[in-house]
Amino acid sequence: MRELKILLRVEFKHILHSLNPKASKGSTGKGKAAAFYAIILFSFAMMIFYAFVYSAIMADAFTQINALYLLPGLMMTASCMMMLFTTIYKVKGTVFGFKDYDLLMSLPVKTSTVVISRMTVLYTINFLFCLFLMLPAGAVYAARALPGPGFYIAFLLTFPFIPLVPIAVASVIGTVIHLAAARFKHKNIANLIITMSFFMGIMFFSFNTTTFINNAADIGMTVMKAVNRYYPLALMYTNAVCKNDYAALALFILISILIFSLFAFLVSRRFKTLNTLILANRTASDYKIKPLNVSSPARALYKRELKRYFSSANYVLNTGVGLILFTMASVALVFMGSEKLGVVLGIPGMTEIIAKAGPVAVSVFVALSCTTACSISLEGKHLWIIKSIPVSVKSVFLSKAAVNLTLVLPAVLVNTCAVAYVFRFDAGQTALMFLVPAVYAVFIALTGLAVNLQYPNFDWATEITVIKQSAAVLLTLVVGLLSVAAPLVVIFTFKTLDARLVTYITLLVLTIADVSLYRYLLTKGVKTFNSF
Amino acid sequence: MLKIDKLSKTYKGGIKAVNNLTLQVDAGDIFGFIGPNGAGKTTTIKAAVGVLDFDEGDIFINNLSIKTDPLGCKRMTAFIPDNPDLYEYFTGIGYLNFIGDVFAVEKTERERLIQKYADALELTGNLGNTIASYSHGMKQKLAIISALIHSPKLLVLDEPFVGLDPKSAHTLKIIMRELCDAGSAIFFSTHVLDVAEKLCDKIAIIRDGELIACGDTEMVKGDASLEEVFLELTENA
Repeated sequence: MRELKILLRVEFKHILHSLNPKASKGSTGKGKAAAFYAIILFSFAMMIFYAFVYSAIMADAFTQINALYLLPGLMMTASCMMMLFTTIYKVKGTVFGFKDYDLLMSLPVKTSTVVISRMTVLYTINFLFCLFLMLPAGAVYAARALPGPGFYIAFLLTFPFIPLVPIAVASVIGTVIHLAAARFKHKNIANLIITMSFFMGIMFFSFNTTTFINNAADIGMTVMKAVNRYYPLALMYTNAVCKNDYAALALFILISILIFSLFAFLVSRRFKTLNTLILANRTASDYKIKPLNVSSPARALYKRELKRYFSSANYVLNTGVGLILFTMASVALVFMGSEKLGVVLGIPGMTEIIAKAGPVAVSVFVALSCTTACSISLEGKHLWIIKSIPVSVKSVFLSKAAVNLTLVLPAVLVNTCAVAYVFRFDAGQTALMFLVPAVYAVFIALTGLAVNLQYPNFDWATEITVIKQSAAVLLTLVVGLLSVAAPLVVIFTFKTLDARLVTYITLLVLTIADVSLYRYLLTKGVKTFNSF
Repeated sequence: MLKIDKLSKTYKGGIKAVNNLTLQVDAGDIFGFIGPNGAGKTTTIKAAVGVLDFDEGDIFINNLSIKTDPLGCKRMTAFIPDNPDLYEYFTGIGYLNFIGDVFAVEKTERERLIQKYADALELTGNLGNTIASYSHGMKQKLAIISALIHSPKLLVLDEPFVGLDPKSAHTLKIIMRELCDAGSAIFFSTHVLDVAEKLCDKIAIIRDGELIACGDTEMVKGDASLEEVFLELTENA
């Protein structure tokens, strides 16, 4: 137990360190730290707010068909899905293939203790996720259904057990993906392809099993029917929490514990073997020097950055999935039309949103696709290379921004063509449809760099720490989303205002912001980088 | 070739790592830089290659200041750190080609030098593998090859022999001598005093951020061994 406590203390210290702006290598004043904490609190508040709003919308819909009891089960399933998808790519780096594996395994600590410490980290992260989603849902249900004390007891009793099964299932899927990828020479790319195929497969499956229904309550009913079929724990949960079914309550907790314990036991038994297999590299020793492709220094930097991006499945999944969905939705728009697509995507009034505020609205995908916010931190222990070779800091920044634009601009172009075709846009509207997201893309790429320079972290143990959990990434995401939300709020609040005028003003403000950020990066940004 | 002039560097928290350090490495010199752990060797080396900012003084490479013309200085310099952390997502050959690109090494010359040094260090067969699969010694060899393929005028190495097998260490010593005979300069830190004594033309000893001895190897060690001189200077001073 003592060893477990020590291991956990180290693990959580690492996570908190990555989120602590004062721990960054750059100079961090009190104001900068305070601003960071304010934005983090704001993001948590927004997450809880959205969970409340979504629960309230679903509660309204379920109330109409007298099925409010479905709400906790639906939100529990949503939480489980979210935990499943976010845990699959945390498995490597958290449970397997973490950087201090050699050090930990050489310590006089039992393998099972190491495994338990790793699983506890996964559990804690997921528990927090669950907390933010389930508490608002529980509160909305309690306020609407006015249930007896049985609900509160069952809700609180089941709560800690919700993350157990998604963690176990995600860990199995993640492990299988990494084991399969380890057979290839370029295992990172193989891992990326397998993971992407898995996610696409899930999407395709749900797409095919979902009937197109226009009403939120019917969607909820259909989803719950499908969920109960494929995830029986959801039905047990609904019965336990909303119908005072004590047998279901006991069964839900028992099955969750059993599945998680079985997974932990199997991992403990095969921990070293699995780590060896996942960390193994396919090698050959018969290479002969062939003619080399020569590039300019700027192009070499760009290629290096692109290689870095695609070498990490975590990096691509965290920043690129939005773009893939964006492109797929754009193509689907052409074939399905906006009304039907809006229903499939669960975005009510999509036609009106695109017609009125299309250029700004689609930029939300751009805001979700910032590759630069962790790109400086990702230099990590390799920072010496970029600092000792004869390339300017400016060209390093540009190569990082160029990768972001390389990923975003083609998706924006596809989307522009699709929207312009479906909505019969004139030349001016089409130009705006491309220009606004493009200027947003530059803004997000430069903001990511500027924020990462202020909140760098070069001492990470696993790259997921900076890709997903770092101060810079969270801040950039909030700044990006707020920059998209602001004009949208103006357009839809002040309906008498000309939406196109607001779009022009947004374009102008963003262009000024882009130029200012560029100048900032080339002056203060370069100085900050040189001080690392 | 390398002139460090009154260099001082203080880290956050007020720790003075290097204090008013001055030394000069001429073309053709193999210059050994020795000192106890935490004496300021790595700080000096990193400042010399432009990896680390410094507070006072200046550093000149072939009469160019690292402060005012960092790119000019870096074009003439190669650096190998104490721990060869290289881009693990590159293959060995991919990394060498990247270094060749940023130093604008001509294609045929690049291929010739990669072949020459990779053969000498027995790494050619492994160049097609990703760096992630390399052992520490293989990464060290790759770092050495990457430093040599752009024919640097100044080679700065931090503990270059750590991780190398005896044969590769011997090969590296021969390469270092060849480079200096061709007019380059080498500035390197080491804890292996035997190597420093036999290989270096000049030696500097640093302790607590200050130079306590500097000059021709024969002059610094006198009639004693370098180890004896080192222990006496670092323990008694």
